[in-house]
Amino acid sequence: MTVTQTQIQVPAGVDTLLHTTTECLRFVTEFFEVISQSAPHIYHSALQLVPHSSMVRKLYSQQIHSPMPRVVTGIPTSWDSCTASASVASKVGLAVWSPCGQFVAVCFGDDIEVRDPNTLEILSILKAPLDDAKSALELLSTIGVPLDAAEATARSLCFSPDGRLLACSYPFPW
Amino acid sequence: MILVWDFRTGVVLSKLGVDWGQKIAFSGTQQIVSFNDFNSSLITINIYDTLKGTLPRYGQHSTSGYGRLGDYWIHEGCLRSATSSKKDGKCVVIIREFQPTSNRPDPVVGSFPVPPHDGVFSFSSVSFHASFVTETEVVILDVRNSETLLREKARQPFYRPQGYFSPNGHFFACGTRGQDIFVWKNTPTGYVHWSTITPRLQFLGFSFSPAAVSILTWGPGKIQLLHLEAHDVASPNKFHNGSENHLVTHSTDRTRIATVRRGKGVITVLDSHSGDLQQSIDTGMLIQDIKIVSDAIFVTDGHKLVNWHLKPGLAHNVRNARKGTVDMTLFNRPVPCSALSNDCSKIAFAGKEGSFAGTMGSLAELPRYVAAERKTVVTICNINAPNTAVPNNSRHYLDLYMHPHLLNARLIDTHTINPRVAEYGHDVLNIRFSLDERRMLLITGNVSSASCSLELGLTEDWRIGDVIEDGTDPWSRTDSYSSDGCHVGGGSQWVMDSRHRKLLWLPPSWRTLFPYDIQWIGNSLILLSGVHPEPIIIEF
Repeated sequence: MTVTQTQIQVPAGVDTLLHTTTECLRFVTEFFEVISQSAPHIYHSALQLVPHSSMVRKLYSQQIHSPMPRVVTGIPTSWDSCTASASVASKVGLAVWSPCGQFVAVCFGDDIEVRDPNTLEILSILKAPLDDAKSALELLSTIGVPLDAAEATARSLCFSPDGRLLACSYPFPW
Repeated sequence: MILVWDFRTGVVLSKLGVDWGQKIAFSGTQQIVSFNDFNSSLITINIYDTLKGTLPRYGQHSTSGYGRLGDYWIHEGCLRSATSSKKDGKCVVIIREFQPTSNRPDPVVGSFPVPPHDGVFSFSSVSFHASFVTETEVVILDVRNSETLLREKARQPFYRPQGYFSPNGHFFACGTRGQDIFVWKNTPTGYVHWSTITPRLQFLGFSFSPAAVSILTWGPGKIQLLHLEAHDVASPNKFHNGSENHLVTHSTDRTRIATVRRGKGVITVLDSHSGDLQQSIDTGMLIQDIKIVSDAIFVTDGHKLVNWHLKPGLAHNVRNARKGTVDMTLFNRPVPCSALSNDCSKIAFAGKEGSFAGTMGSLAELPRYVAAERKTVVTICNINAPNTAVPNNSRHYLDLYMHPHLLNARLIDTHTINPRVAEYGHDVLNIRFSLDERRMLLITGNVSSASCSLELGLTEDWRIGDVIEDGTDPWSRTDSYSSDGCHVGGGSQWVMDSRHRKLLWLPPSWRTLFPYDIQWIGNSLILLSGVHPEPIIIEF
């Protein structure tokens, strides 16, 4: 027994259909970044990079374009655990999910970066007005108070329960 | 200081000029609570008015005897916390509710005696499960009946032993020193292993998404999103400093590519167009570099130089390889890092002062190689740390040795390495000759991360010339471009052509911050990063 889905044949059965659905979800999640820029990337980029073991590759391999550039070796055998990554300016930091799961707030330094939870792209930056505090720290350090403005990075980050407010604590007493 | 933003507009609503909290949480939208648990017997709790801002409205009160803070959450508009305290060999998990308008002691709304366990305490307010994690063991208890739901010895030591329950209570996870994340699923019969996730990037902390679909990790210069899958996602090598990158070399006509992981012994020879396997050579060496010259592949492990014959075309018995005529000992003992020039006429090596001692005599063996292959081994480099007992300000040198007559080595040049590149304690991880053999690239770093690169020019007589790049913008180096000007920037998701048009999108795991992780052979891009099970070859 088979179920027809447009031009492909998916073997029926709860497990197979569930697996296929999971694979399709994984496909969209993995390649959301490039597909969201242009739908033809489904064929140009995404299908070409699908792991060998993926049901999506088995179902749609005939529709993979053979363009240049072409991946000669290195197509993964299975899905990678990492679905998105991004570079940040500093070495240590904090990150917290919004209660709704629609945003990720990341603090690497003073300012807060609000990022997309699927692609980790920056959506906005919340500026932290800390210049006065850091200047004061530097002034104190010049008179011998052992404080280092460079080390004064954020310590805790949290959303309000309704997701409307975001708070960050810094190691300045004023 | 605590800053509060309106999340939608980005406007700073208040600036609380108060002492900072180790952890902060909202209690409703009107109060922020800061927790400071500096030691195991005292937690300081401050409650501030969010919008009025400048001063604590409700003062500050400290309470002793709370023990370690495991979690805090909102319950019917009130903030609650779970702490564990251990006294007289007994352990109690205490749930308290904070009354922001009252200065009376915060009421205990739940008290659960549990069997005493060592380790860092975590708590799930959803499942009322508590975890105690040490470097060697994780224990999860149901605090309501003290039932042990998981007791498991660590397969690797847990990192900063700390467990995390997912917000929905479905999962529990621990990070390990080996940079894996072990995930267990909460089932009616207890916690069962769900997956072991191996992130490709180093992380310092992580957290579950609200629906426990993903895990977000953050670490040195990178954040990454991991899919929470019900199987182990293996990665052969996650520590990334280039020391276990793939080595790739090609034949002169570029029809064949040979590859091996640095420090491993099996060379794979591929058809460069189809990617089909042509030959596999088990050298039995811990390979530091390989190069193809005509129909032979030369291999060095920093101790010996050996060659194997390559078979033309596809071979049926890919493991059958015949040793060549070169099998010579270069040094009395292996040097940590060595590299062959593209035509195998030169060899460069890096090592600290001690490992260099005693090598001069063995170099007299080089003429045998010259006689056999009519080649000239002329250049030997040594990274020389003269006094490794002097931290930080010790000076590192690149010494260049030349062997014009291949019998008596002599020092012809010394170069002080940029202190930023060769910091104390860092080793040379990689040396690479440029295709035209007029430049040498040196990568330095420590065990967990590469630090800097240094690109040196070589003069006509193989003396060390100018410093071309000292890591300021390594992506601008000419070997970061293909012969047609295609290039990929650091961390970029696109390979672009010479006119900056997008040619190919790179998935997150293929992106790199380090220029030495890529190599162009003609118009083929090769991603060398050791986090991949094999090098990724993309033909443009």
